[in-house]
Amino acid sequence: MTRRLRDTGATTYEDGTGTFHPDERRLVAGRTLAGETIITVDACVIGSGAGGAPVAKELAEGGMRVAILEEGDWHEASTFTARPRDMTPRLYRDSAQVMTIGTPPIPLPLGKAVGGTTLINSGTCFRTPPHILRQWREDHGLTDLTTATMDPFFRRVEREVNVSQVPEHLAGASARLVLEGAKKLGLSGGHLFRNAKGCVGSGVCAFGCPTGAKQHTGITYVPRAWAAGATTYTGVQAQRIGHQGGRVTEVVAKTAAGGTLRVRCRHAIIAAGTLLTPALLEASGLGHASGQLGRNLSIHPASAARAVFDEDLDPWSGVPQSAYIDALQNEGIMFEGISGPPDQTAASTPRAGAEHRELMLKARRTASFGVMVHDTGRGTVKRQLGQTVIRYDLHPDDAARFQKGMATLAEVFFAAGAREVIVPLAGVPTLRNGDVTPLTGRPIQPKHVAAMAFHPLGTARAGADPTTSVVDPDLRVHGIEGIHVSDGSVVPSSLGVNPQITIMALATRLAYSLLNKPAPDHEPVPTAIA
Amino acid sequence: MRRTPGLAVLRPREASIFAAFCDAVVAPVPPLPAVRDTDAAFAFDTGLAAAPAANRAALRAALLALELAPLALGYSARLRRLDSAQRLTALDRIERGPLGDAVKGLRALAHLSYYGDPAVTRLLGYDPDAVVARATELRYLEHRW
Repeated sequence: MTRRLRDTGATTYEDGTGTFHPDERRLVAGRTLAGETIITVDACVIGSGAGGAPVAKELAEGGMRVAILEEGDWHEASTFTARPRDMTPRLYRDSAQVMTIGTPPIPLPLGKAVGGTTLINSGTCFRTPPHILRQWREDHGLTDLTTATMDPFFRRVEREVNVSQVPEHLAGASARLVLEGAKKLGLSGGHLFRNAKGCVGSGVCAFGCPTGAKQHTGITYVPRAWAAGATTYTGVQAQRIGHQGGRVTEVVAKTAAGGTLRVRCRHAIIAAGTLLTPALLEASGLGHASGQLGRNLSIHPASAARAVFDEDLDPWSGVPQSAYIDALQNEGIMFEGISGPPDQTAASTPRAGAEHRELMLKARRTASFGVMVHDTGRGTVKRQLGQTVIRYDLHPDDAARFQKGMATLAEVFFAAGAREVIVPLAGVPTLRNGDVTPLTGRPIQPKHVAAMAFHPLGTARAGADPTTSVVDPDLRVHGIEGIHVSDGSVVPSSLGVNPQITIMALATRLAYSLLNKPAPDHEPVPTAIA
Repeated sequence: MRRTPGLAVLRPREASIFAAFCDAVVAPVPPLPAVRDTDAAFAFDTGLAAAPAANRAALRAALLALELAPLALGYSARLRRLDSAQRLTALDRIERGPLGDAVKGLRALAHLSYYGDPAVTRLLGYDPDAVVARATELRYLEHRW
């Protein structure tokens, strides 16, 4: 059989035409639902992000009546201002102040909107690495998850969200310099693949793409779900999953108007995210038999180094996360771009007072790039006194990875011509003259690291053994019929790469399983992929 | 032109403490405008209003604690009564104690709030309005979302 090809190059990345719009936006705002509202559907999907939207769309197109419950609001791209400070309270859960408790405290920004965290992520797309799939098969009994069996689902997802490679002219100056420096040092890397269509390098992917180029699930899967008859209820927070006789009966949610929405359903798919799904399961009396609910949290801690050059770079122009260096990936260290407008940069630049000010006055000449650690450490998520409490301590081995990663990145920047390099490690002065010994010459402890994290995973992990996992290989909650989980919480280990494609592919696979359909065999093959 | 909305969460005293803290960690000198000539305190207030109640309470308590902490360290005045350089030195000492995480968190928010002021942003060379104008045209011409 001759397979169709899907080009993943610059043309695909830059062509913004052909956007799908349904005849009707099937949106119901929770603030209009006072009192008690009861609806009956085949499938209730809780969450509209990477885990929820694909399964909702596939089930709706497969003929099911589907309701999507979303705690956040629908946001029009026309309301995005390209100002990080002002967009953060609107698009992020808790104004981006979700933090881990531990050493050190680590911000964990999450989206709260139609599209979930895909609305505010950097758009980087990687398939699940083969060695990770092998680890899942060996350690968690997920024997059906092979590169070959997952390939059809990856291809379908990548087509739906237009995964294609960032072209060089949109990659931005930071990426150009880092790749130049990496090449001089013999470090492998390249331009990232992203879910984008018609990107012009606005530089504010994490604050609402104003051009509608970033193909988050809210403008890809959700409209397709609407076209197939699904309805999205916004401003609605699921409170518990009702079940009786070992089977789901309904989802009960609170609306923004203070009312109650009861969704009677045959299937409940929980896609509330790694940090919130455990609490919903617990509140429903589900998923606790193994003792693993809320445990095994991995987060991919990450941080950025900054480097000052002699030339103007305009670091806020171009794709913020456009390039990578993977030379140390086997050591659990991945380098990916990060840049943005001055306020975003200021908040994450170390130093204070005059030193910080002088760095900011050089912002136009400052490049930045990130280090992401494939974490050894594990944390927990629990609901305590009405709050979600996230416990996570950076493992000493991960602090050592940060040290090595920052030292390597500093060398890359110097090779590219940087005058000075600033790293987010306490007690390390500004590096100059190509000298990284102030960084490498002392032990770095977890408390010295200033990091953020964007990929929480693992708190309702999948596995064949019900004594060590929360959901089974088909993502069904052990011990109950009709309740599945479809978000990062089921991913049983840290991935080492950005997780959205893994989550979307697992969600698509779940939907096909619920529909009793074989894996799609007609999806075009990408000409290149990560 | 600086906008002047009312404060949604902060009391005027708390906003004043934040402005003093912001002044210390930003240390603006011309051409950067003084903190009082920006909307930094109001932006911080807007962010607080969207934050969870526990964070809001903790950050407001932290502001009050920072105001008094210099006295506990042997300074002769509260934070707002110190000059900018003294404030920064005091905050550096405070950061090494039990309020360290609070100082770090507030510092990031202060930097975000100040450098997000429209005039400051333009001064540094970033024009968000141009980004939005181009985006509007593209969305219209290509019938995007």
